[in-house]
Amino acid sequence: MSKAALITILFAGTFGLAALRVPIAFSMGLASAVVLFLMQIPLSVVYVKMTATVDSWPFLAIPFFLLAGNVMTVGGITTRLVDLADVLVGWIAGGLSQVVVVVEMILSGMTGSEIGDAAALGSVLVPAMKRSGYAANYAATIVAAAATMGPIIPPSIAFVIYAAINDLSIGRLFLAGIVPGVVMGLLLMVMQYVMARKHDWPRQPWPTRQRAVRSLVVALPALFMPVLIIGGILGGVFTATEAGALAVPYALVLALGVYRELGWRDLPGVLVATLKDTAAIFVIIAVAGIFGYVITVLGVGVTLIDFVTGLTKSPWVVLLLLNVLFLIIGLFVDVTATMLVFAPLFAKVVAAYHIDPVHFAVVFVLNVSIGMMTPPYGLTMYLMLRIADITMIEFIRAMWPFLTALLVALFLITYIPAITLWLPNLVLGAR
Amino acid sequence: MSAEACAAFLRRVEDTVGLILFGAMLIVVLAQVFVRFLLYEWLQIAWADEIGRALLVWSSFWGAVLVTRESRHITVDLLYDAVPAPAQLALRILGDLVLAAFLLLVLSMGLPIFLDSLRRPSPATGLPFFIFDGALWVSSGLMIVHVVVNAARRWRPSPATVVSAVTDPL
Repeated sequence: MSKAALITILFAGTFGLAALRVPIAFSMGLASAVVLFLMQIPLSVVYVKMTATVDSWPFLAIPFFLLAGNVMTVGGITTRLVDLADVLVGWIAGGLSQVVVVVEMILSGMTGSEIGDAAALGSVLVPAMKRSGYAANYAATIVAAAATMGPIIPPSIAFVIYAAINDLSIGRLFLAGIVPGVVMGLLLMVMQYVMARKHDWPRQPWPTRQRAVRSLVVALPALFMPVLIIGGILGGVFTATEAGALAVPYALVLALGVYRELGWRDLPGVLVATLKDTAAIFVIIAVAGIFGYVITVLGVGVTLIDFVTGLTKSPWVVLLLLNVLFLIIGLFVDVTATMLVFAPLFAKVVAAYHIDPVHFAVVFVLNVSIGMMTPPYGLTMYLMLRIADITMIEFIRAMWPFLTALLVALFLITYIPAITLWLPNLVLGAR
Repeated sequence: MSAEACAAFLRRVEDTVGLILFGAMLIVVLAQVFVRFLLYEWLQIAWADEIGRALLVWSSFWGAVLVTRESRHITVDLLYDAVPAPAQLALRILGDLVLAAFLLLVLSMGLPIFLDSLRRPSPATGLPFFIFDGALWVSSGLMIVHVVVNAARRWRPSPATVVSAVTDPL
């Protein structure tokens, strides 16, 4: 059978089955197995690749960051951060919407996942925004847009996966995400300021000095967490996996001892819930190992590089094309699957154009992350529909201003490499 | 023991094992960090790396059993939500069939590897290679059980199905 036919079977099979609500992991798995069978490759490779892909020390960071995040949000960290952010930016026009962005910037310094952040923020801030007069769909889209900073601001599960499969330094990627994350946050805040003026969104009262001091003192132990994680990794004190493992007892001390919103009895529940979150991701990682193997055997990467280099010689045009392509892929494909399948392929393409791999990593993850808040396949969006109790149409109607702000951020981050590369090159030296 | 009591018992066992695997994974990595910082001159724990990775493999696939049991794999619901109930049932059956087919493939293709893993020692600790290669096989077997049980429940909804839907422990 021709190579083109096999590639078609692989992709059409995967996306076709997934569209019919077959779990994504199993859609990829079955399509890959069929292609392997047609190529007369022994199917025992399925078993071997699934286990070998998961068997990775860097990947151990993922369950720990998920667990720390779950403990923090169940343990009442979010409400403390909301108090602090309210003091800091609540008095600006569109106060609560600005609070969402600032809380997410701090929160994503402790957690690693967009969905987790959106759940934590949404459950606290969507009801609060509704009460103070925001339309439910704006409240939902504001949170969904802010959560896209989650995978960009370190620690980030997306960067852990990306670094592991593309052989990059996790620390360097983490550093590279900081400034782009701040750029995204600032652009969202500006857009919200404009929207607040237009829709007359309320602002919070100017805080008293007493309240300002108290909210800072209460939040201080939580604020030390990003310092511990990011500082530890960047200072070379520990690896991302070790930082993740250390974040768990720290979060437990805060939740059980300091804020006392989590009891020992709640702990097994949180652990089992995190185990399920972990498994849902790792099943896809495992199967993507087979999928990636099939893609390599078929030589899709080479075909793709030939195709793209035939189109243009300019790295700027390539980045533009890839952005459009990724945004489209992000509309339909799961984040983990996108990362595992497409990142290695396109990393080879951009290498042919001498685009910095760290810069490309951030552009790639940002694309995927924006895909999380856009229909039809945006897990963050589905979560927000449930939290805010709105329909997809209502969500789409409200999302444009914030999506625009994020696309402007994407454009800036794509075409000004310094936004990404300045900090890692400053701290770790140029590559 | 009735079928429902069996299911409840299995559920308990699965959750408990998952809890132990996950907890052990955390403890091993933490132990590794502390030993590296505090005792590295006196004590080497080369096994922590291997055991940590093995526990990740087990947690991932064992967790997948829990996810399968509760039908909470990541899916694209766009089409499903748009079609009428009979079509939804058809899509669910298709999903069950794909899961069952893939898991049977894994079980049959993995059997020689699984059996071999019982005898072959692992590089660092010398434990059977089962600590890596056993996880997918054991978990796939349990997942098939849940796919079948869930499918059977869909055909003949028992009172217990209703209960389990409203009393999710989490």
